[in-house]
This record gives sequence, C-alpha cells and structure tokens, in this order.
Amino acid sequence: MKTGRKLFFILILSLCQGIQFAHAHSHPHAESPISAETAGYIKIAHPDLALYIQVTLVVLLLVLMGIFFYTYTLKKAVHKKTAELRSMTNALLQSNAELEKFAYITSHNLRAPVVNIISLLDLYVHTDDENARVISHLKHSAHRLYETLGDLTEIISNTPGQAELSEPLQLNKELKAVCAGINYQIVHSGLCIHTSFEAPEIVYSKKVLHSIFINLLTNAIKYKACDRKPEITIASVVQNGHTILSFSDNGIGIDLDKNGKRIFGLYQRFERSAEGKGMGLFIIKRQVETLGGKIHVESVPGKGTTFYIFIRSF
Amino acid sequence: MQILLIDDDDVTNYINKRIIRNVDPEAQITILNNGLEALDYFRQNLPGKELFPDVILLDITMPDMDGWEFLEEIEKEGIKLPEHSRMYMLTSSVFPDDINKANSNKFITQFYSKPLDNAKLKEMLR
Repeated sequence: MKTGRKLFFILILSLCQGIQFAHAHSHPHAESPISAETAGYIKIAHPDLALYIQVTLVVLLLVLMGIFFYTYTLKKAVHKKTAELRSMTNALLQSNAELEKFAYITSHNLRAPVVNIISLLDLYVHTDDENARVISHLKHSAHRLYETLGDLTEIISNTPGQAELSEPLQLNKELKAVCAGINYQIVHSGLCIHTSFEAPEIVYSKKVLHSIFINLLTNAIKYKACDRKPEITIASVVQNGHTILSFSDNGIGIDLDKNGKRIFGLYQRFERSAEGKGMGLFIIKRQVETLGGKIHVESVPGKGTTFYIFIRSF
Repeated sequence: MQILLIDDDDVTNYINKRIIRNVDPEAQITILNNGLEALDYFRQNLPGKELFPDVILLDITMPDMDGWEFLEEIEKEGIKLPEHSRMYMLTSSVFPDDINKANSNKFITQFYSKPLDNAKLKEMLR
C-alpha cells in the first residue's frame, strides 16, 4: 500500500514537471525555472504541439488526482462501514446469546407449573361423570402444553451455541455410530445404505453431524416407497474448498413446487401415515445454518429426494 | 424409609409427598426449602449417620442457595454422605448440560426430570 502511494506521488510530481516543461516550450519567452536546454532531453519543435502536450498532461494530472481522491474517500467509507458492521455483528451475537438464555429460562420456568398441573390432575379423584369430563379435558390440554414445551426445549437444546466445538470427524466412523443407535429401524425397514466419501474427513460439530445422519436416515425410512426396497446413498465431495454432503433416497419424493417453502418449517409433515412431528428438518436446517453452512433439497415425486448439506470450511 | 425433599415449590412438595405416601405409607418425609436450609440440616444431622435420610431429592432452581451452590458447599466442607444415603437431582430442567453436570457430580446418584411418578420413585428406592 505504502509503495503504491509513493509511486502515485512520484507520478504526479513527474506530471507537474512535464507540464512545466511543456509550458516553457509553448511560451518560449516566458520565464521558466527549467529551460528547454537544461531540462530537455526532448526537443519540441512546434509551440502548438507543446501546448497540446501541456493540456493532455494537465488533464491526466486532474484524472489521477480525481482517482486518488475517489480511492481515498472510498477507503474511508469502507473503513467506516466495516466498523459499523463489526459493532452490529457484536450486538447481534450478544442479543442472540441473551435470547438463548431467555428461551432456556422461559421453557424451564413454564415446565415446572405444567408438570405440577399434570401431576395434580393424576392425583385428583373425581366423584361424578361431569367432573370426570372436565378433568379429562384439562388433562388433554395440559398434555398438549407439556408436549409443545418439550418440542421447544428440544429445539433449544439442539441449536448449537456460538462456541460449538468443531473436531476432525471420520464420516464412515460417525455414520456407523449413528446406525448402531437406530439399528432396529434400519433392519426393520430393510434400508440399504451406500456410501461414497470422496472427502472422508470433515472438521465439524459431532452433535450436528449425528443429528444430520439420524434425521436424514430416518426420513428415508419414514418416506420410503412401498413398491421398492428403500435405498440411500450418502456422499461427500469437495467443491471450491467446501465440503458437500449429499443424501439421495429412492423414497416417495415430495412435490417441491407445492411444498418447497414449507419443507424446512416447524411441525410440517407431508405424509399423514408417516410417524414424527415434523421437527427433524427444521432442527437440522437451524443447526447447519448456525454453523455457517446451508441445506438444499431436490426431489422428484415418486422417484426420491436428495438433500445437500454445504458445510462451511474454516 | 426416611426421605428428604429439598425444593422451594409448595405444590411440588405436596405432589411428591402424596406420591411417596402412595408407594410407602410409612415413609418419614422432611421438607427443606432451599440450599441454605439443607446445608444447615447436613451440618447438624450428619454426626448421627444412621438416622440420616435414605433418599434425598434435590431441586436445582431455588432462592438463596440453589442446588448447584449447595453441592459446591458440601464439597468444600468435605461432607461425605453415609453409605445408605442416595441423593438424586429432581428438577424441571431437561437440558443436556444440566443432566451431564448432575450425572458427573460425585454426590448425585442420578438425574431425574420432574414429575416424580411411581416408576421413578421405585427406581430411586431400589
């Protein structure tokens, strides 16, 4: 940077000298500190040509000064904006941490009385039919509240914090560990898992990677087509320095034109017969995005679905 | 069977008492409302070890001194539980951080989320 600035000033100084030199030639009688003989290794024959050179050099000087001024103001503005962005990021990080804390405290404090209501209703002995109905409705409502709170807690617990630990992870090893945990579902459904890990290792949060594996494997099971054996291919590739994980199944697929916007939403399910609450994709999208990556889905109804996880490389 | 409940919430204490009585009508139940009261109780009653409660249920969120602070205090004072006593954490929290922290504490036999019910209580009394 400093060398660039020096060169720039040398260029301007040379231009000024050039202008003076040309001026001396266009006005042969004008007094000039540099005469054509002393400064001149160039001899300009015609005064008009000298004037022409002088004007060109002045214009060039002005353009250069303009560029210098423009770069200078631009740099200043960029510095100012960068500082603004930095302070905004800090404020956002802080408010995010506060929100996490708030959600934690709220869900904890709400859970305590809800749990008590449910326990009290269990202890209550009803004496007549009408009371029994009231208590049964109360129980139902309290259980719904309890479940919603449970979902909220699950989302909060599963969202990685700012300081989530990243570690080198062998995809094959982690996949095996996850499969062991859901072995019954895999065997029961007959799911066939193929892998193609071009990038065998990633540096990532173990918790989030396991969550991705569990959710996308169980999704492939839940949304399998009934006329064929369920299969899923899990692959990893590196593109432009980013690792991409892909999960392609041969399940029933999903009409993305109709449901594309809702697929990663909370409590969204597209097949009534399938088990689950519609939280898995919502949770992994949040997890992947919190770690600076993104998730993308492609699907052909009746053929299958592919999820792409773009893992941010640090 | 002697049972000590350390919880500031009256409703919770009422419910837990009822559930304990359902399982063991003869149980002697003592209730303390926060960590400070529990600390006093421990200091005074530990010399007569055989009379110390068999099961202690400790809540986390309490005024004056919470469950974690109480555990730190008894650790600092070098208190040791008699062999027949087991302390469980019974709290509204279901967060993994709390569960891991409780399960790795040397005084806590196991972490349980509220509500207390017959099945959980039977596990504790086993």
